Amino acid sequence: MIIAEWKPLPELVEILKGHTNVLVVGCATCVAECAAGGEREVETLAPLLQMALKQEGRTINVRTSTLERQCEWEFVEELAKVAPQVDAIVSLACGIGIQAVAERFPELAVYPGVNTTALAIRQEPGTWLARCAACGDCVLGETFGFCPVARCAKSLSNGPCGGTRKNGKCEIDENIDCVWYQIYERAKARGKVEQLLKVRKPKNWSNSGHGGPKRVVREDLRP
Amino acid sequence: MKDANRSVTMPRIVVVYCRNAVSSAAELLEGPYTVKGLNAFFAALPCSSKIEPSYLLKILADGADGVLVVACPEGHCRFMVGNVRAEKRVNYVRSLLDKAKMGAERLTLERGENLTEKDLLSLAQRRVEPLKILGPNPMKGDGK
Ligand code: SF4
Ligand code: SF4
Repeated sequence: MIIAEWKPLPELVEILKGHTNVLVVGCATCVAECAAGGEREVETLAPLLQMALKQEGRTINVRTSTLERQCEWEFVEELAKVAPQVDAIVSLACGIGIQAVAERFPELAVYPGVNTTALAIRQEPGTWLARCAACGDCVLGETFGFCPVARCAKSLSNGPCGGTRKNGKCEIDENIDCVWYQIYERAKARGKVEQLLKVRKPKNWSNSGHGGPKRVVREDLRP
Repeated sequence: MKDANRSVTMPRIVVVYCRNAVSSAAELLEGPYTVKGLNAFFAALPCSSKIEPSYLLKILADGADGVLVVACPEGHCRFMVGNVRAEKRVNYVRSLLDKAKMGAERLTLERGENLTEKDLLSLAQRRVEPLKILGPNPMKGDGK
């Protein structure tokens, strides 16, 4: 899933300066799963914003809505009725959903209520861990199912870096596993350590952000 | 029942309590209770874990001066860990209230067992002074 986290409250209070009718809009998909922008979080942030703004002597009307998926035009369209009644939208969806809303309602100020941070998995309730960085040149087949791009602090294609702690944790944070240690352990368990001796050449980054904004076209699916 | 003059100075407290934390007689305590130096509203829940951060914040955004959550003692939850979840949520909302500069003290959690109506009233009563010190909720009057 795409994960996100609320922006700090003072930042949201600041961006809402001058607005009096605000719509807080969530998305019931990824950001709901990571407890940042689903219906629960929308209904939590709305009264919180009202109270934080009140402390600065500002009274705002806050409406709320949570779309099934904020990254699909059909669902974004559901906001057409309420949009004329507000002067700003705070979206708790990932950056994709926020941009979809901004594109559909260009006349409105659309603000991110969250920072989108990673493609992640819920490791256990309340803990999410990055798993993929959408690099466009997947090497999971060579790295025994562990992503070194998203999970190594240095995104090393040929690791480890030499800083791995004795307990297998990364040198930058004792709570984070060294992914190259994990890769090695899995390779060893599968009797394939020699595969790691092969030097992996630089990745082809041009298939993701480095090749300009990514565009995928499937002629067979186009209108 | 409502005394308009008193409610100006008397904090309005919403008490949400776990039905299993009280004796059967205390379950009758539902709705507003505005006598004896107390301006409170009581609501029973099937388990304290039924509280959601959004409910607690909405109660405060609607102008209540304080919210008191009453849960069973740890280890005595009919639903295993409901009251532990409730405590975590209360702590989370308290942190949000601090960030909103509303004061974490507007939301508190108490634990108890076989509580009588009198016990519930006295738990609510204990919130009056701290909430008076905190001052009235600035959201008062904005509530729907
Ligand atoms: S190698 Fe690239 S595509 Fe594969 S999981 Fe890692 S970031 Fe994602
Ligand atoms: S310790 Fe491991 S995960 Fe951390 S930077 Fe070095 S190789 Fe990457």
